[in-house]
Amino acid sequence: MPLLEVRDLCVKYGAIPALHGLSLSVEAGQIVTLIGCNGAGKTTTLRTISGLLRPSGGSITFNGAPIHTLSTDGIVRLGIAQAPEGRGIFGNLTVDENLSLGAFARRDRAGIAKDREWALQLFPRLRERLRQNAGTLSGGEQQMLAIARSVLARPRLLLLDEPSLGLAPQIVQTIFHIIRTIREERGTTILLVEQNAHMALHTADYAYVLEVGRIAMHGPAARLAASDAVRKAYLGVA
Amino acid sequence: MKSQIQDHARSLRGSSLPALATAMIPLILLIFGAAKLDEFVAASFDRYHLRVMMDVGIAIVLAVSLNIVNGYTGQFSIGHAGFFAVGGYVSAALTYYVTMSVWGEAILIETPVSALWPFPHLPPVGAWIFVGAAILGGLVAAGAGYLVGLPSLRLRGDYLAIVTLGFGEICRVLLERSNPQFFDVDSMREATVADWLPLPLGSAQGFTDVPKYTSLFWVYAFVAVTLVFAYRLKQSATGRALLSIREDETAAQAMGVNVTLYKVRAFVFAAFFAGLAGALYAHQPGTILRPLDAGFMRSFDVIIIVVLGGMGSISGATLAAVLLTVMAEWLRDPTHVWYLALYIGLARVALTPRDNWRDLVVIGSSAVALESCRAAGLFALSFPLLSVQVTGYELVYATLLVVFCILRKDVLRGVLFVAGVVAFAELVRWLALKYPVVRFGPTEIPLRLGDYRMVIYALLLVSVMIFRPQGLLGLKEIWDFLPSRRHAPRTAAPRVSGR
Repeated sequence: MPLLEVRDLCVKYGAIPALHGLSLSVEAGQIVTLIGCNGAGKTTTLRTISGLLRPSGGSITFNGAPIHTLSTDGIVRLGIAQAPEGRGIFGNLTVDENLSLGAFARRDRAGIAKDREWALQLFPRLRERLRQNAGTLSGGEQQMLAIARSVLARPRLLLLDEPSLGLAPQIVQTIFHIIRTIREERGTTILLVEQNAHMALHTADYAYVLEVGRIAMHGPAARLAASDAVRKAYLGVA
Repeated sequence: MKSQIQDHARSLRGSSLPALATAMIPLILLIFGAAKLDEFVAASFDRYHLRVMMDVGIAIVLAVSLNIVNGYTGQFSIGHAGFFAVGGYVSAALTYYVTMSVWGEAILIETPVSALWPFPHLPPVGAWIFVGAAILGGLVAAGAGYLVGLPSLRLRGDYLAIVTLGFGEICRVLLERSNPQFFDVDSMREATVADWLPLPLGSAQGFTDVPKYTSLFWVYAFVAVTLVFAYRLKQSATGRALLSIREDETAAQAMGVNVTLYKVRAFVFAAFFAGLAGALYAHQPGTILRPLDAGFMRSFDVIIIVVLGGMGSISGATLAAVLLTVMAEWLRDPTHVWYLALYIGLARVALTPRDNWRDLVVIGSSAVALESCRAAGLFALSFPLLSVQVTGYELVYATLLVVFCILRKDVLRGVLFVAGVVAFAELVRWLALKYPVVRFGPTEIPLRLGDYRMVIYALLLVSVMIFRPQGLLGLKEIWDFLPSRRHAPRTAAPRVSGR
């Protein structure tokens, strides 16, 4: 049984449909990526899974139980954390306070302390800046904070929305390296939404290609990366 | 490494006793301070000054409580006076009618609490009735806060502001439509249901003759409770959740914060303390509770304090509450404009080019010292300059300002500033003395500068907002400006050494 199963998902913004019957499944322990162009519905999919948007049809089951009727905080408590698009950093709070808010839904203080230490090992830059206001961090550091913060929820499924957005290529490399590390050290299942198809396919185990609200293609990431259609449309190879 | 984790775990867990102690020790010290303030200060000031000091305390409770909604949570509420009035009316009606039905008339009950023999200094029975009524008033206000918080589930910004404004106005109209007050036991006994419903809260004429329990002690004891609560709340997980809603509501949801629940909580906390402030106001000597106390003018007074102090800053709200309440009174004497300009000049020079804590301390303490000298009548030398008498203190202030400008290597600006301030203030004063009356043909218009104090007050607010739009302290607390703790965290962070 997959950890996350999305079936025939329909989402509308008012009268305008954004997703028409999207289905995907994420196996436990995998990194699954969802790639596609602007406006294909990638962020909509993530926001619907995390409960920020309500589907007009279809179902989302997590670990066998339907979650598409739950509130966002209820979904976080079940073990789905996300680093929202545009990082969603609390700019006027310190890095430390941001991290504490990541663990907001948890009550096991010893476990939080341990995870906090682990997250700071992943991102040593954040340790240097614990007492600084998060708004004063650079773009890359803010993205690191967003990921560290979501990891502190100790999720079973981590939703990452465009972690490479607006970052220098070198930092993108670092971020993707850390995404792999999180899966390897924690066994966290990751659903990664990306426009940077090259890095995403390189990192993920399985990939879905999204085109105007529908899954156009899916398969093991390596196979998709080798397919002509994907190479032409998303990897910029003639 | 492992021990660091354990240390951090311990610091997070904290046993319940130290946590309680960290909240209780400052609280007990502050309440003790309030008792001492009452004992020493109350005897040596007249009723007017005592009243201003109490008004300051009530303004602090109101501002710090509104700050929980407007500052911490970032929700714009403009109905705070509604909660204030609910607390005030509920507590006033309780003490008034309970005292009347038990003792026959609504007077101060000075019967000592003799049953509690080991504590002979405990306040008398009446004071306990007052505290009980105040807490009940706060709880009813908190209930109202819950009801107002509910619409904020969906509303943001302006829309929420309209809902809260509506709440305040509903309170005002309901109070205006209340029944007349019962002034003696007999009319209370003979009253029919129609006299009791709507409640006999004095209608538009206001609710009077409430026993005057509010003293400096009670005001500052309640200030202490409010400040400690607001501070502890800000440090807690709940407080962080509120701050995260202010910063980014969607991201807060993504962290698992139940945004709805926490917004309602913010309203309930704020309303409770506003209710307490209302209870203090209702029992203050010289007060008549009026339906207008629920109106939006009073709400705006509180909002101005919160915005001026800096959103979310407890010390900022406290500072602004003191400054604005005192200033509104102080400007009744137009000659004070002179000092005001100099104070502002000094603060402005000290705060350029960066927030300079030490200079501000020097200026603040010398101002306090000078004002004390003046109050005690020391160094009362004065001599004529232009048309009026200039005292030694004014000269000292001006000298201080010049010295700071020289230290800042900005002599020209400093001298110009002093000259400008002096010239303007003297011109105003000279005009006021020379032309106490303006004549337009046969009509005479008396020119009393004191009447224009709210104009000066408003101009000052405008200039603060222009020069410091984030408020006096911004999002920071006053101790964040101390040099050694510039980057100190607002929460207790564990000390983890870098590798």
